[in-house]
Amino acid sequence: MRSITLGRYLPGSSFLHRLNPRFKLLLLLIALAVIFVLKTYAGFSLLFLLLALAAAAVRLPLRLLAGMLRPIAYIVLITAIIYFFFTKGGVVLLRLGPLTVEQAGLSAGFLVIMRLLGLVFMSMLLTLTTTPLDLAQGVAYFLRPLGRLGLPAAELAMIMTIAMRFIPVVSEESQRLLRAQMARGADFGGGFFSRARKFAPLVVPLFIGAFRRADELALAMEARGYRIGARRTRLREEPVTAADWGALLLALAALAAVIYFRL
Amino acid sequence: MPEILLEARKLSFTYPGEDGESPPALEGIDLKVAAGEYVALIGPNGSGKSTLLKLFNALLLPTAGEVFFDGRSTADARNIPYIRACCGMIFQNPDNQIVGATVEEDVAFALENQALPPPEIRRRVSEALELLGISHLAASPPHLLSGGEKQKVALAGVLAAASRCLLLDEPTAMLDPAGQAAVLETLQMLNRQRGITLVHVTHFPEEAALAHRVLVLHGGRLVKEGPPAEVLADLPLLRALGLKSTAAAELAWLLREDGFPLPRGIVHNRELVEQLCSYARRI
Repeated sequence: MRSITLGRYLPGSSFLHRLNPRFKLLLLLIALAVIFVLKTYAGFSLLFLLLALAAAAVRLPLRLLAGMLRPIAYIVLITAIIYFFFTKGGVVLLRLGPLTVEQAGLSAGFLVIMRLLGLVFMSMLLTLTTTPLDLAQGVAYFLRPLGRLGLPAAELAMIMTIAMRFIPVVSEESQRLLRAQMARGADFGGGFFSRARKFAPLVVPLFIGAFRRADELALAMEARGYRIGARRTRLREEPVTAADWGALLLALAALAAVIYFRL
Repeated sequence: MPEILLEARKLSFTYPGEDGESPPALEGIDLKVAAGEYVALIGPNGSGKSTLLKLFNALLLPTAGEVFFDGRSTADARNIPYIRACCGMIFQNPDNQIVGATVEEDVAFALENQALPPPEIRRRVSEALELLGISHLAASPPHLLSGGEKQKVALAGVLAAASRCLLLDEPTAMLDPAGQAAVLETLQMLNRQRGITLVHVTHFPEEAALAHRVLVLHGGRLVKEGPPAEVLADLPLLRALGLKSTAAAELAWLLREDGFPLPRGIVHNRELVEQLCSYARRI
Protein backbone atom coordinates (compact mmCIF):
# COMPACT_ATOMS: atom_id res chain seq x y z
CA MET A 1 0.00 0.00 0.00
CA ARG A 2 2.88 2.30 0.79
CA SER A 3 4.55 2.18 -2.58
CA ILE A 4 1.89 2.94 -5.12
CA THR A 5 3.35 3.45 -8.55
CA LEU A 6 1.19 5.14 -11.07
CA GLY A 7 1.00 4.12 -14.65
CA ARG A 8 3.91 1.90 -15.52
CA TYR A 9 6.84 4.20 -15.08
CA LEU A 10 10.10 2.30 -14.93
CA PRO A 11 12.70 4.42 -13.15
CA GLY A 12 15.93 4.67 -15.08
CA SER A 13 18.29 6.98 -16.88
CA SER A 14 18.31 5.67 -20.43
CA PHE A 15 18.36 7.85 -23.53
CA LEU A 16 14.57 7.64 -23.70
CA HIS A 17 14.19 8.58 -20.03
CA ARG A 18 16.21 11.72 -20.54
CA LEU A 19 14.35 13.05 -23.57
CA ASN A 20 12.05 15.98 -23.00
CA PRO A 21 8.47 14.70 -22.47
CA ARG A 22 7.10 17.12 -25.05
CA PHE A 23 9.51 15.77 -27.64
CA LYS A 24 8.65 12.22 -26.68
CA LEU A 25 5.00 12.94 -27.39
CA LEU A 26 5.97 14.37 -30.79
CA LEU A 27 8.14 11.33 -31.47
CA LEU A 28 5.22 9.05 -30.65
CA LEU A 29 3.05 10.98 -33.09
CA ILE A 30 5.63 10.62 -35.87
CA ALA A 31 6.13 6.95 -35.05
CA LEU A 32 2.37 6.41 -35.37
CA ALA A 33 2.51 7.98 -38.81
CA VAL A 34 5.40 5.67 -39.72
CA ILE A 35 3.41 2.65 -38.61
CA PHE A 36 0.47 3.55 -40.78
CA VAL A 37 2.63 4.22 -43.81
CA LEU A 38 4.71 1.03 -43.46
CA LYS A 39 3.48 -1.86 -45.58
CA THR A 40 6.35 -4.24 -46.33
CA TYR A 41 7.71 -7.07 -44.21
CA ALA A 42 11.17 -5.58 -44.54
CA GLY A 43 9.92 -2.28 -43.17
CA PHE A 44 8.25 -3.89 -40.18
CA SER A 45 11.30 -6.04 -39.48
CA LEU A 46 13.37 -2.88 -39.38
CA LEU A 47 10.85 -1.17 -37.08
CA PHE A 48 10.73 -4.06 -34.63
CA LEU A 49 14.50 -4.32 -34.65
CA LEU A 50 14.64 -0.64 -33.62
CA LEU A 51 11.98 -1.13 -30.99
CA ALA A 52 13.86 -4.14 -29.58
CA LEU A 53 17.00 -2.02 -29.36
CA ALA A 54 15.05 0.71 -27.55
CA ALA A 55 13.58 -1.85 -25.15
CA ALA A 56 17.08 -3.14 -24.43
CA ALA A 57 18.30 0.42 -23.80
CA VAL A 58 15.45 0.98 -21.36
CA ARG A 59 16.28 -2.39 -19.74
CA LEU A 60 12.69 -3.47 -20.11
CA PRO A 61 12.21 -6.75 -18.23
CA LEU A 62 10.73 -9.43 -20.52
CA ARG A 63 8.26 -10.44 -17.81
CA LEU A 64 6.84 -6.91 -17.82
CA LEU A 65 6.64 -6.93 -21.59
CA ALA A 66 4.69 -10.19 -21.61
CA GLY A 67 2.36 -8.91 -18.92
CA MET A 68 1.56 -5.86 -20.98
CA LEU A 69 0.98 -7.72 -24.20
CA ARG A 70 -1.38 -10.29 -22.67
CA PRO A 71 -4.43 -8.02 -22.46
CA ILE A 72 -4.21 -7.11 -26.14
CA ALA A 73 -3.53 -10.66 -27.30
CA TYR A 74 -7.27 -11.33 -27.73
CA ILE A 75 -7.79 -8.18 -29.74
CA VAL A 76 -4.92 -9.11 -32.01
CA LEU A 77 -6.21 -12.66 -32.40
CA ILE A 78 -9.79 -11.66 -33.21
CA THR A 79 -8.70 -8.96 -35.63
CA ALA A 80 -6.35 -11.37 -37.36
CA ILE A 81 -9.07 -14.03 -37.77
CA ILE A 82 -11.47 -11.52 -39.22
CA TYR A 83 -8.88 -10.34 -41.75
CA PHE A 84 -7.68 -13.86 -42.60
CA PHE A 85 -11.15 -15.11 -43.47
CA PHE A 86 -12.96 -12.08 -44.77
CA THR A 87 -10.46 -10.22 -46.95
CA LYS A 88 -10.55 -11.85 -50.34
CA GLY A 89 -8.22 -11.81 -53.31
CA GLY A 90 -5.29 -13.71 -54.72
CA VAL A 91 -4.51 -17.40 -54.41
CA VAL A 92 -6.66 -19.53 -52.12
CA LEU A 93 -4.29 -20.83 -49.46
CA LEU A 94 -6.63 -22.77 -47.19
CA ARG A 95 -10.13 -24.11 -47.52
CA LEU A 96 -12.20 -24.96 -44.43
CA GLY A 97 -15.65 -25.96 -45.71
CA PRO A 98 -17.28 -22.76 -46.92
CA LEU A 99 -14.50 -20.57 -45.48
CA THR A 100 -11.31 -19.75 -47.35
CA VAL A 101 -8.12 -17.99 -46.46
CA GLU A 102 -6.78 -16.13 -49.46
CA GLN A 103 -3.46 -14.42 -50.04
CA ALA A 104 -4.79 -10.86 -49.72
CA GLY A 105 -6.40 -11.76 -46.40
CA LEU A 106 -3.20 -13.22 -45.05
CA SER A 107 -1.09 -10.21 -45.86
CA ALA A 108 -3.75 -7.73 -44.69
CA GLY A 109 -4.05 -9.68 -41.43
CA PHE A 110 -0.31 -9.64 -40.88
CA LEU A 111 -0.18 -5.93 -41.58
CA VAL A 112 -2.85 -5.24 -38.97
CA ILE A 113 -1.18 -7.44 -36.37
CA MET A 114 2.15 -5.72 -36.95
CA ARG A 115 0.52 -2.29 -36.69
CA LEU A 116 -1.32 -3.12 -33.47
CA LEU A 117 1.77 -4.60 -31.84
CA GLY A 118 3.93 -1.68 -32.94
CA LEU A 119 1.37 0.79 -31.61
CA VAL A 120 1.14 -0.84 -28.22
CA PHE A 121 4.87 -1.34 -27.99
CA MET A 122 5.62 2.31 -28.71
CA SER A 123 3.05 3.79 -26.37
CA MET A 124 4.40 1.41 -23.77
CA LEU A 125 7.93 2.71 -24.25
CA LEU A 126 6.60 6.23 -23.71
CA THR A 127 4.73 5.47 -20.48
CA LEU A 128 7.60 3.34 -19.20
CA THR A 129 10.15 6.11 -19.59
CA THR A 130 8.05 9.16 -18.62
CA THR A 131 6.47 9.80 -15.22
CA PRO A 132 2.70 10.37 -15.40
CA LEU A 133 3.34 13.87 -14.09
CA ASP A 134 5.76 14.75 -16.89
CA LEU A 135 3.36 13.20 -19.35
CA ALA A 136 0.52 15.36 -18.04
CA GLN A 137 2.70 18.47 -18.26
CA GLY A 138 3.69 17.52 -21.79
CA VAL A 139 0.08 17.08 -22.89
CA ALA A 140 -0.85 20.37 -21.20
CA TYR A 141 1.91 22.10 -23.15
CA PHE A 142 0.35 21.11 -26.45
CA LEU A 143 -3.08 22.15 -25.20
CA ARG A 144 -1.79 25.65 -24.50
CA PRO A 145 -2.68 27.15 -27.88
CA LEU A 146 -6.28 26.12 -27.15
CA GLY A 147 -6.20 28.65 -24.31
CA ARG A 148 -7.40 31.22 -26.85
CA LEU A 149 -10.53 29.16 -27.34
CA GLY A 150 -11.12 29.28 -23.59
CA LEU A 151 -9.51 25.96 -22.69
CA PRO A 152 -7.69 26.47 -19.36
CA ALA A 153 -4.60 24.37 -20.19
CA ALA A 154 -2.53 25.46 -17.17
CA GLU A 155 -5.41 24.73 -14.83
CA LEU A 156 -5.92 21.32 -16.46
CA ALA A 157 -2.26 20.52 -15.84
CA MET A 158 -2.68 21.60 -12.21
CA ILE A 159 -5.75 19.38 -11.88
CA MET A 160 -3.84 16.40 -13.26
CA THR A 161 -0.92 17.06 -10.92
CA ILE A 162 -3.19 17.27 -7.89
CA ALA A 163 -5.16 14.19 -8.92
CA MET A 164 -1.94 12.20 -9.11
CA ARG A 165 -0.76 13.61 -5.81
CA PHE A 166 -3.98 12.54 -4.08
CA ILE A 167 -4.45 9.07 -5.57
CA PRO A 168 -2.28 7.44 -2.87
CA VAL A 169 -3.95 9.54 -0.16
CA VAL A 170 -7.45 8.53 -1.22
CA SER A 171 -6.43 4.91 -1.67
CA GLU A 172 -5.04 4.88 1.86
CA GLU A 173 -8.28 6.37 3.08
CA SER A 174 -10.30 3.69 1.32
CA GLN A 175 -8.17 1.04 3.02
CA ARG A 176 -8.84 2.70 6.36
CA LEU A 177 -12.59 2.75 5.72
CA LEU A 178 -12.46 -0.88 4.66
CA ARG A 179 -10.70 -1.88 7.85
CA ALA A 180 -13.10 0.22 9.93
CA GLN A 181 -16.05 -1.61 8.38
CA MET A 182 -14.36 -4.98 8.84
CA ALA A 183 -13.68 -4.15 12.48
CA ARG A 184 -17.44 -3.74 12.88
CA GLY A 185 -18.05 -7.14 11.39
CA ALA A 186 -18.61 -6.32 7.74
CA ASP A 187 -17.79 -9.16 5.36
CA PHE A 188 -16.29 -8.17 2.04
CA GLY A 189 -16.08 -11.68 0.61
CA GLY A 190 -18.45 -13.40 -1.81
CA GLY A 191 -18.87 -13.27 -5.56
CA PHE A 192 -18.29 -10.28 -7.77
CA PHE A 193 -21.78 -8.80 -7.54
CA SER A 194 -22.26 -9.31 -3.82
CA ARG A 195 -18.84 -7.78 -3.24
CA ALA A 196 -19.64 -4.81 -5.43
CA ARG A 197 -22.83 -4.26 -3.41
CA LYS A 198 -20.95 -4.47 -0.12
CA PHE A 199 -18.45 -1.88 -1.29
CA ALA A 200 -21.17 0.69 -1.97
CA PRO A 201 -21.31 1.93 1.67
CA LEU A 202 -17.59 2.73 1.40
CA VAL A 203 -18.05 4.98 -1.59
CA VAL A 204 -20.19 7.60 0.17
CA PRO A 205 -17.77 8.35 3.04
CA LEU A 206 -14.90 8.25 0.56
CA PHE A 207 -16.56 10.93 -1.57
CA ILE A 208 -17.47 13.07 1.43
CA GLY A 209 -13.87 12.80 2.62
CA ALA A 210 -12.61 13.77 -0.82
CA PHE A 211 -14.83 16.86 -0.94
CA ARG A 212 -13.71 17.97 2.51
CA ARG A 213 -10.12 17.42 1.47
CA ALA A 214 -10.67 19.41 -1.72
CA ASP A 215 -12.09 22.31 0.30
CA GLU A 216 -9.11 22.42 2.61
CA LEU A 217 -6.66 22.05 -0.24
CA ALA A 218 -8.29 24.92 -2.14
CA LEU A 219 -7.93 27.10 0.93
CA ALA A 220 -4.30 26.11 1.39
CA MET A 221 -3.57 26.80 -2.29
CA GLU A 222 -5.20 30.19 -2.09
CA ALA A 223 -3.28 30.99 1.10
CA ARG A 224 -0.09 30.22 -0.83
CA GLY A 225 -0.93 32.72 -3.50
CA TYR A 226 -2.47 30.49 -6.18
CA ARG A 227 -4.76 32.48 -8.45
CA ILE A 228 -6.64 30.98 -11.35
CA GLY A 229 -5.50 32.46 -14.62
CA ALA A 230 -2.41 34.12 -13.13
CA ARG A 231 0.97 33.54 -14.77
CA ARG A 232 3.06 30.90 -13.01
CA THR A 233 6.55 29.57 -13.51
CA ARG A 234 7.75 26.02 -12.82
CA LEU A 235 10.55 24.78 -10.60
CA ARG A 236 11.44 22.11 -13.11
CA GLU A 237 11.37 23.53 -16.59
CA GLU A 238 12.27 20.47 -18.64
CA PRO A 239 15.29 21.57 -20.66
CA VAL A 240 15.22 21.07 -24.42
CA THR A 241 18.58 19.64 -25.45
CA ALA A 242 20.34 18.95 -28.71
CA ALA A 243 19.45 15.29 -28.21
CA ASP A 244 15.75 16.22 -28.31
CA TRP A 245 16.10 18.02 -31.62
CA GLY A 246 18.33 15.24 -32.93
CA ALA A 247 15.76 12.59 -32.10
CA LEU A 248 12.99 14.63 -33.69
CA LEU A 249 14.96 15.16 -36.91
CA LEU A 250 15.91 11.49 -37.04
CA ALA A 251 12.27 10.48 -36.65
CA LEU A 252 11.19 12.86 -39.41
CA ALA A 253 13.96 11.52 -41.63
CA ALA A 254 12.78 7.98 -40.93
CA LEU A 255 9.22 8.94 -41.87
CA ALA A 256 10.47 10.54 -45.09
CA ALA A 257 12.55 7.44 -45.88
CA VAL A 258 9.62 5.12 -45.31
CA ILE A 259 7.48 7.17 -47.67
CA TYR A 260 10.22 7.62 -50.29
CA PHE A 261 11.41 4.01 -50.41
CA ARG A 262 7.85 2.65 -50.08
CA LEU A 263 8.95 0.40 -47.21
CA MET B 1 7.67 51.41 19.68
CA PRO B 2 8.10 48.22 17.66
CA GLU B 3 6.74 48.08 14.14
CA ILE B 4 3.15 46.80 13.99
CA LEU B 5 2.78 43.97 11.46
CA LEU B 6 -0.79 42.81 11.97
CA GLU B 7 -3.63 44.94 13.11
CA ALA B 8 -7.37 44.40 13.53
CA ARG B 9 -9.59 47.43 14.09
CA LYS B 10 -13.14 46.94 15.39
CA LEU B 11 -13.13 43.72 13.43
CA SER B 12 -16.35 41.74 13.10
CA PHE B 13 -17.09 38.80 10.88
CA THR B 14 -20.24 36.81 10.19
CA TYR B 15 -20.11 33.78 7.93
CA PRO B 16 -22.26 34.38 4.86
CA GLY B 17 -25.29 32.21 4.36
CA GLU B 18 -26.13 32.17 8.03
CA ASP B 19 -29.48 33.67 8.88
CA GLY B 20 -29.58 37.02 10.64
CA GLU B 21 -30.23 35.38 13.98
CA SER B 22 -26.92 33.57 14.24
CA PRO B 23 -24.21 35.39 16.20
CA PRO B 24 -21.17 36.71 14.36
CA ALA B 25 -18.08 34.48 14.41
CA LEU B 26 -16.01 37.47 15.57
CA GLU B 27 -17.12 40.73 17.10
CA GLY B 28 -15.32 43.95 17.96
CA ILE B 29 -11.78 42.61 17.87
CA ASP B 30 -9.08 45.22 18.39
CA LEU B 31 -5.65 43.74 18.17
CA LYS B 32 -2.08 44.62 17.30
CA VAL B 33 0.75 42.21 16.70
CA ALA B 34 4.26 43.62 16.51
CA ALA B 35 6.83 42.41 13.97
CA GLY B 36 8.83 39.57 15.49
CA GLU B 37 6.25 38.82 18.15
CA TYR B 38 5.07 35.31 19.03
CA VAL B 39 1.38 35.33 19.86
CA ALA B 40 -0.65 32.31 20.96
CA LEU B 41 -4.38 32.24 20.37
CA ILE B 42 -6.42 29.99 22.65
CA GLY B 43 -10.11 29.45 23.18
CA PRO B 44 -12.74 26.73 23.05
CA ASN B 45 -13.94 25.25 19.76
CA GLY B 46 -16.05 27.70 17.81
CA SER B 47 -14.58 30.72 19.57
CA GLY B 48 -13.37 32.18 16.26
CA LYS B 49 -9.65 31.37 16.40
CA SER B 50 -9.35 29.91 12.90
CA THR B 51 -11.65 32.58 11.51
CA LEU B 52 -9.37 35.28 12.89
CA LEU B 53 -6.35 33.64 11.23
CA LYS B 54 -8.13 33.51 7.88
CA LEU B 55 -9.00 37.18 8.19
CA PHE B 56 -5.34 38.02 8.71
CA ASN B 57 -4.28 36.77 5.29
CA ALA B 58 -7.40 37.79 3.42
CA LEU B 59 -8.83 34.31 2.96
CA LEU B 60 -11.86 35.93 4.57
CA LEU B 61 -12.74 39.60 4.46
CA PRO B 62 -14.22 41.44 7.46
CA THR B 63 -17.95 42.16 7.55
CA ALA B 64 -17.17 45.24 9.63
CA GLY B 65 -13.96 46.91 10.72
CA GLU B 66 -10.62 46.44 9.05
CA VAL B 67 -7.57 44.20 9.04
CA PHE B 68 -4.14 45.51 8.15
CA PHE B 69 -0.99 43.61 7.28
CA ASP B 70 2.08 45.81 7.29
CA GLY B 71 -0.19 48.84 7.05
CA ARG B 72 -2.09 47.51 4.03
CA SER B 73 -5.78 46.75 4.29
CA THR B 74 -6.92 43.25 3.33
CA ALA B 75 -10.07 44.80 1.86
CA ASP B 76 -8.08 46.17 -1.08
CA ALA B 77 -7.69 43.35 -3.62
CA ARG B 78 -4.45 44.89 -4.91
CA ASN B 79 -2.78 44.16 -1.57
CA ILE B 80 -3.69 40.49 -1.53
CA PRO B 81 -0.74 39.08 -3.52
CA TYR B 82 1.66 40.97 -1.25
CA ILE B 83 -0.12 39.87 1.92
CA ARG B 84 -0.27 36.22 0.84
CA ALA B 85 3.40 36.27 -0.15
CA CYS B 86 4.46 37.64 3.25
CA CYS B 87 1.95 35.97 5.45
CA GLY B 88 2.13 32.19 5.25
CA MET B 89 -0.45 29.86 6.72
CA ILE B 90 -0.06 26.37 8.11
CA PHE B 91 -3.13 24.20 8.64
CA GLN B 92 -3.92 21.42 11.03
CA ASN B 93 -3.99 18.54 8.59
CA PRO B 94 -0.64 18.30 6.83
CA ASP B 95 -2.09 16.00 4.18
CA ASN B 96 -4.54 18.51 2.82
CA GLN B 97 -2.16 21.39 2.28
CA ILE B 98 0.55 19.69 0.27
CA VAL B 99 0.02 20.33 -3.42
CA GLY B 100 3.17 19.07 -5.09
CA ALA B 101 3.87 15.50 -6.14
CA THR B 102 7.30 15.67 -4.53
CA VAL B 103 8.59 17.57 -1.51
CA GLU B 104 10.62 20.05 -3.55
CA GLU B 105 7.76 20.70 -5.93
CA ASP B 106 5.49 21.44 -3.02
CA VAL B 107 7.99 23.78 -1.42
CA ALA B 108 8.23 25.54 -4.78
CA PHE B 109 4.46 25.98 -5.12
CA ALA B 110 4.14 29.46 -3.58
CA LEU B 111 7.22 30.64 -5.52
CA GLU B 112 5.77 29.32 -8.76
CA ASN B 113 2.63 31.29 -7.97
CA GLN B 114 4.77 34.40 -7.68
CA ALA B 115 6.10 33.60 -11.16
CA LEU B 116 9.75 33.80 -10.09
CA PRO B 117 12.42 32.60 -12.53
CA PRO B 118 13.23 28.86 -12.09
CA PRO B 119 16.87 29.34 -10.90
CA GLU B 120 15.63 31.69 -8.16
CA ILE B 121 12.95 29.14 -7.18
CA ARG B 122 15.56 26.38 -7.09
CA ARG B 123 17.84 28.45 -4.84
CA ARG B 124 15.09 29.37 -2.37
CA VAL B 125 13.73 25.84 -2.25
CA SER B 126 17.11 24.37 -1.33
CA GLU B 127 17.59 27.10 1.26
CA ALA B 128 14.24 26.40 2.91
CA LEU B 129 14.79 22.63 2.86
CA GLU B 130 18.19 23.09 4.44
CA LEU B 131 16.88 25.46 7.10
CA LEU B 132 14.34 22.87 8.21
CA GLY B 133 16.81 19.99 7.88
CA ILE B 134 14.79 18.06 5.30
CA SER B 135 17.08 18.38 2.26
CA HIS B 136 17.33 14.59 2.11
CA LEU B 137 13.57 14.38 1.45
CA ALA B 138 13.60 16.71 -1.58
CA ALA B 139 12.58 14.06 -4.09
CA SER B 140 10.24 12.04 -1.84
CA PRO B 141 6.54 11.81 -2.57
CA PRO B 142 4.65 13.44 0.32
CA HIS B 143 2.47 10.43 1.17
CA LEU B 144 5.54 8.49 2.30
CA LEU B 145 6.49 11.07 4.96
CA SER B 146 5.60 11.07 8.65
CA GLY B 147 3.18 13.68 9.98
CA GLY B 148 5.97 15.75 11.50
CA GLU B 149 7.92 15.65 8.25
CA LYS B 150 4.84 16.70 6.28
CA GLN B 151 4.30 19.65 8.60
CA LYS B 152 7.95 20.61 8.11
CA VAL B 153 7.42 20.46 4.35
CA ALA B 154 4.47 22.80 4.75
CA LEU B 155 6.63 25.14 6.84
CA ALA B 156 9.41 25.00 4.25
CA GLY B 157 6.89 25.86 1.54
CA VAL B 158 5.81 28.94 3.44
CA LEU B 159 9.35 30.00 4.36
CA ALA B 160 10.65 29.60 0.82
CA ALA B 161 8.20 32.32 -0.14
CA ALA B 162 10.15 34.62 2.22
CA SER B 163 7.36 34.91 4.73
CA ARG B 164 7.61 37.51 7.45
CA CYS B 165 4.67 36.13 9.32
CA LEU B 166 3.31 32.65 9.95
CA LEU B 167 -0.32 31.98 10.78
CA LEU B 168 -0.48 28.55 12.40
CA ASP B 169 -3.80 26.77 12.78
CA GLU B 170 -3.17 23.98 15.29
CA PRO B 171 -0.09 22.80 13.40
CA THR B 172 0.72 20.03 15.90
CA ALA B 173 -2.80 18.69 16.52
CA MET B 174 -2.36 15.66 14.27
CA LEU B 175 1.25 14.85 15.10
CA ASP B 176 2.84 12.37 17.48
CA PRO B 177 4.95 13.74 20.38
CA ALA B 178 8.18 13.58 18.37
CA GLY B 179 6.56 15.41 15.45
CA GLN B 180 5.08 17.99 17.82
CA ALA B 181 8.43 18.65 19.44
CA ALA B 182 10.13 18.99 16.06
CA VAL B 183 7.57 21.49 14.78
CA LEU B 184 7.59 23.56 18.01
CA GLU B 185 11.37 23.64 18.02
CA THR B 186 11.36 24.80 14.40
CA LEU B 187 8.81 27.52 15.17
CA GLN B 188 10.87 28.86 18.06
CA MET B 189 14.01 28.82 15.95
CA LEU B 190 12.23 30.76 13.18
CA ASN B 191 10.93 33.30 15.64
CA ARG B 192 14.21 33.83 17.49
CA GLN B 193 16.74 33.59 14.69
CA ARG B 194 14.77 34.96 11.78
CA GLY B 195 12.46 37.34 13.60
CA ILE B 196 9.43 35.78 11.94
CA THR B 197 6.15 36.86 13.52
CA LEU B 198 4.04 33.91 14.70
CA VAL B 199 0.33 33.75 15.38
CA HIS B 200 -0.24 30.28 16.77
CA VAL B 201 -3.72 28.87 17.34
CA THR B 202 -3.52 25.97 19.75
CA HIS B 203 -5.47 23.79 22.15
CA PHE B 204 -2.33 22.83 24.04
CA PRO B 205 -1.57 25.14 26.99
CA GLU B 206 2.05 23.96 26.92
CA GLU B 207 2.36 25.43 23.42
CA ALA B 208 0.67 28.68 24.40
CA ALA B 209 3.17 29.00 27.24
CA LEU B 210 5.98 29.30 24.67
CA ALA B 211 4.57 32.52 23.23
CA HIS B 212 5.35 36.09 24.21
CA ARG B 213 1.67 36.90 24.53
CA VAL B 214 -1.46 34.81 24.89
CA LEU B 215 -4.86 35.91 23.58
CA VAL B 216 -8.04 34.22 24.78
CA LEU B 217 -11.02 34.18 22.45
CA HIS B 218 -14.49 33.25 23.58
CA GLY B 219 -17.68 33.52 21.56
CA GLY B 220 -15.97 35.68 18.96
CA ARG B 221 -14.66 38.18 21.49
CA LEU B 222 -11.21 38.78 22.87
CA VAL B 223 -11.73 38.12 26.59
CA LYS B 224 -8.17 38.33 27.88
CA GLU B 225 -4.66 39.00 26.66
CA GLY B 226 -1.30 39.21 28.33
CA PRO B 227 1.97 37.35 28.87
CA PRO B 228 1.62 33.57 29.45
CA ALA B 229 2.47 33.98 33.14
CA GLU B 230 -0.57 36.19 33.52
CA VAL B 231 -3.12 34.51 31.25
CA LEU B 232 -2.25 30.89 31.90
CA ALA B 233 -2.12 31.51 35.65
CA ASP B 234 -5.69 32.81 35.58
CA LEU B 235 -7.24 29.43 36.20
CA PRO B 236 -10.70 30.68 37.18
CA LEU B 237 -11.07 32.33 33.77
CA LEU B 238 -9.70 29.35 31.84
CA ARG B 239 -11.91 26.92 33.73
CA ALA B 240 -14.98 29.08 33.15
CA LEU B 241 -14.27 28.77 29.41
CA GLY B 242 -13.74 25.03 29.63
CA LEU B 243 -10.00 25.38 29.02
CA LYS B 244 -7.03 24.07 30.93
CA SER B 245 -3.72 25.59 31.80
CA THR B 246 -0.31 23.92 31.71
CA ALA B 247 0.31 21.00 34.06
CA ALA B 248 2.68 23.20 36.10
CA ALA B 249 0.12 26.00 36.42
CA GLU B 250 -2.64 23.56 37.44
CA LEU B 251 -0.40 21.90 39.98
CA ALA B 252 0.85 25.22 41.39
CA TRP B 253 -2.77 26.29 41.77
CA LEU B 254 -3.66 23.15 43.74
CA LEU B 255 -0.56 23.51 45.90
CA ARG B 256 -1.37 27.13 46.65
CA GLU B 257 -4.94 26.19 47.55
CA ASP B 258 -3.40 23.78 50.06
CA GLY B 259 -1.39 26.56 51.62
CA PHE B 260 1.97 26.29 49.85
CA PRO B 261 3.45 29.78 49.59
CA LEU B 262 3.97 29.65 45.82
CA PRO B 263 3.99 32.88 43.82
CA ARG B 264 1.43 33.43 41.02
CA GLY B 265 2.41 33.18 37.41
CA ILE B 266 4.00 29.73 37.33
CA VAL B 267 3.36 28.13 33.94
CA HIS B 268 6.47 26.14 33.06
CA ASN B 269 7.53 22.87 34.71
CA ARG B 270 11.00 24.28 35.27
CA GLU B 271 9.62 27.26 37.21
CA LEU B 272 7.51 25.02 39.44
CA VAL B 273 10.45 22.75 40.16
CA GLU B 274 12.68 25.69 41.06
CA GLN B 275 10.05 27.18 43.39
CA LEU B 276 9.45 23.85 45.10
CA CYS B 277 13.19 23.23 45.50
CA SER B 278 13.81 26.64 46.99
CA TYR B 279 10.84 26.06 49.29
CA ALA B 280 12.23 22.67 50.34
CA ARG B 281 15.62 24.23 51.08
CA ARG B 282 14.01 26.87 53.29
CA ILE B 283 12.25 24.37 55.59
